Amino acid sequence: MRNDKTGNMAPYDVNLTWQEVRDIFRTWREEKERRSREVVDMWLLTLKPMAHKLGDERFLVLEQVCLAALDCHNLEVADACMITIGRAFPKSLRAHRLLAMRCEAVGDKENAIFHLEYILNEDKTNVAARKRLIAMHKSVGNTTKAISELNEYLKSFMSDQEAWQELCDLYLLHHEFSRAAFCMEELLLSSPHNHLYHERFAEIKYTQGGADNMELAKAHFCQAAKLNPNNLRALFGVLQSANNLAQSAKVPSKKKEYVKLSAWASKHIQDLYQVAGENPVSAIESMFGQMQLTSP
Amino acid sequence: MTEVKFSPLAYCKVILHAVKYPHASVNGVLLAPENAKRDGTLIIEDAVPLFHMALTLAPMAEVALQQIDSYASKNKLIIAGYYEASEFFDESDVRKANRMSYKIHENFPGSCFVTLRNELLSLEQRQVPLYASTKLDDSGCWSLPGKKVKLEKESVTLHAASILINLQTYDELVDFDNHLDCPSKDWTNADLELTIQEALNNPDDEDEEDSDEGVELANN
Repeated sequence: MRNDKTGNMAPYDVNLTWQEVRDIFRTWREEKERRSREVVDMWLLTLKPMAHKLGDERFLVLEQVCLAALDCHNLEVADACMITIGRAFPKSLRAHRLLAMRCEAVGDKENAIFHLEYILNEDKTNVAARKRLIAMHKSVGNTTKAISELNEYLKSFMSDQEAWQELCDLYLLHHEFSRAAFCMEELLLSSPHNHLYHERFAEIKYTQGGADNMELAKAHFCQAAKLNPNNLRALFGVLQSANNLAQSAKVPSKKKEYVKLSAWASKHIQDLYQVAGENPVSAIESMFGQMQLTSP
Repeated sequence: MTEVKFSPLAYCKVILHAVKYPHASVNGVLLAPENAKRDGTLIIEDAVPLFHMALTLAPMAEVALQQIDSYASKNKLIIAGYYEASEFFDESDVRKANRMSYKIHENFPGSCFVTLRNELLSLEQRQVPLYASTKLDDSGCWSLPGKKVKLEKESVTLHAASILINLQTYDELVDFDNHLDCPSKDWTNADLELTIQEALNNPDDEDEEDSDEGVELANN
């Protein structure tokens, strides 16, 4: 029913071969995609019976399936994976982390902490365990503690991009935009060619509002659009920020510049929509939005 | 506080959006008929799922609101509310409500702020997990937690929602984030609306046709 209506193939199409599933899993591992339900379904339906053919990848796949199963609270599958991994790697701290996560999954906080601290005793630099402890604060809704612990962690491990991204998200939850912007600046320093970082930084600056922030937002939206001309968010960002700046521009030449930029963005957005086969909706028609959420 | 009543369509969309992204907070806007009054019962006809990432950022929210505003007026509707389902099961930190909800309230003072209580959400829908506030307190913040939302044709709708979740129909739901990633995806969810109507009109047929497959996958 679902396949017919939308024309999309559900990932867990029973016609996929086990090799195709194996390749999909590999892509999801590399891109760190959280597709837990699909992973469990595809594993059980297609890949599990052929698991012995996986070779070197076998334990990577088992770990991936175990984490996905814990995410879906499918303890049967998770335990089966953990037992197989545990037998092959009895002293592994990486495997031990799975045990800690299983405790988390059933809400057993004390044992989860016990296992994580055991790992940290064995290996003080074990990043995974440390991050898990921070994640536990978040999982019980104590985001303030998670923020302070994450700040501590980043003092020692300041090149951890994943951690900076997480900290940024936590600050955004609390509307702490300047601190979130600082996190994005750290990420931009290490990855200046990442269009998504430019776009996110621009969105934060836009949200903060004010002329200087709007200029910065416009600049970073433009950079994101330059790095990836198909980034629709970046193009919309250019449009919105250019419109805002045009509205508050005092110097006529500057105003002209912003209007030109806005028109450029508008054209590219319309092109993207046309390629997608959609009619550009009237956001383009209304050049100056009435629903502004930031202070001018 | 005025009462808020959801149509089956709006209810199913909100629930499917929340269930589609169990690990993330989601939000969206609620639409009411354009003659909706400030007092009495506020009927929510439809819902537009918006985001599942970085809900507090403004630029894409503004783009979305512009497009939805235009869509709403063409369909004789107004933006009459805001909903949010938190990623946290327990929330020990009190956070400010999203600016979008206040903006909507400025434009339509009878608007509502709807939250989903995670502890009341289940795969088999037995009760309505949505609570609505329609008033601001003295400090200008939403007066929470608000009152339980009423649902049109409650038992039929709850049953239909359970079926839709069981069939994993939430995969078909398109929110504004999905649309921005892929402009060919329709954030008005016209196709999904047909599916939801089918589930509402033929609850027993749904069970016979496809639920076996869905249930099998879910039970493994």
